[in-house]
Amino acid sequence: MSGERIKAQQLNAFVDGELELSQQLAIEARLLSDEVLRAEVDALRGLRDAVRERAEYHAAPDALRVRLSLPAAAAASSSVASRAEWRGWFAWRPLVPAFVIAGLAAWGLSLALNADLSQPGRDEALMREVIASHGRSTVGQLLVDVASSDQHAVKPWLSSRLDYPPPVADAPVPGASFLGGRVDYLDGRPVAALVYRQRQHLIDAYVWPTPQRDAAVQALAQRGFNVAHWAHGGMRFWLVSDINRDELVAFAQALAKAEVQR
Amino acid sequence: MIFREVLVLRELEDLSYKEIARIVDVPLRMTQGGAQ
Repeated sequence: MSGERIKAQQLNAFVDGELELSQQLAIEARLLSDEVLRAEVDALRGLRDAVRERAEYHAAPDALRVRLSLPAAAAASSSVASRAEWRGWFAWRPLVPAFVIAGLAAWGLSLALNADLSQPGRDEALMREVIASHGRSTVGQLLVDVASSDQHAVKPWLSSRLDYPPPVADAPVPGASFLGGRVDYLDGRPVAALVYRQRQHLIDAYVWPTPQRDAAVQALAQRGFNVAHWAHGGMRFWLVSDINRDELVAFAQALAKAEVQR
Repeated sequence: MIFREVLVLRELEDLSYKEIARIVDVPLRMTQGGAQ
C-alpha cells in the first residue's frame, strides 16, 4: 500500500475507524513516515471535530424517544390508533352534505307541518273571536250600523268604511231576511259583518279578504253557537249563529253558491 | 438531503457506516462516499 495514493473515500473511512483492520493498520504505519498523508488526515479530523463542535444539534423529544423504545407492534398499534382517531373525524366528512340535506328537509317539513298545524289553531282562535263578536252584537243590541234589506245600499256604505268592497248578498234561503251590515273587528282588521235573520235566529256573516285559496264550507260548534266558514274568490266567510247546525250549514252553502254565481 | 442525514448520523449520532446504511436505506459503499 505504501507509495500509492490513498483514495479520499478510503482516508475518510480510516478517520472514521471504518476500514478493515489490516487496512487500518497499514495506513497508520504509513502515517508515521508520510507527512502529506498525515496533514490530510489531520485536516479530516479537524473537519470532523469542527462539525461535532459547531453543528446545530437538536435532541429528539422525549415522547418520540419513548414511542421508539416501545415494542414495534405496540408502536404500530398506537400510531394506527392515532391515525384511526383522525380518520374517525375525516370519515364524517362525506356525511356533511347528508346532514345538511337532512337539516333542510327537517326545516322544510317543520314549515309544512306548522303551516298545516297552525291553520286549525288559527281557525280555533278565529272561531272564538267570531263567537265573541256575535255575542257582543246580540247582547248590545247593536246588530247593524246600516239597517237596510237593500244590498245595494249596504254595500257602498261598508265599502266606504273598509279598504275593500265586501260581497253583500240577499238572504240566500227562503224564510230568511237580510237586516243590514256593520263594521266589526276580527282577525286583527276591520271586517264587514252582514246580518241575517232566519226565523228568530240571528246569523252574522263576516267577510274579509284573504290570500287563502278557496275552501269548502266547514262547520264548527262551540258553547252552543254554530259556526260555518269557507273561502271563495279571495274572501273569507265566517258565519255564526245560535241556529242549529244543519240549518246554518244549509244557509252557508246557499250563500256560498250565490257567491259563486255572482 | 441524504448527505446531511448521513453527516448527522455519522458525526453527531456517532453511528457506524453499517447502521447508517440500514437507516438511510442505501448500499454501504454509498454511505462511505456520503460521509466525506
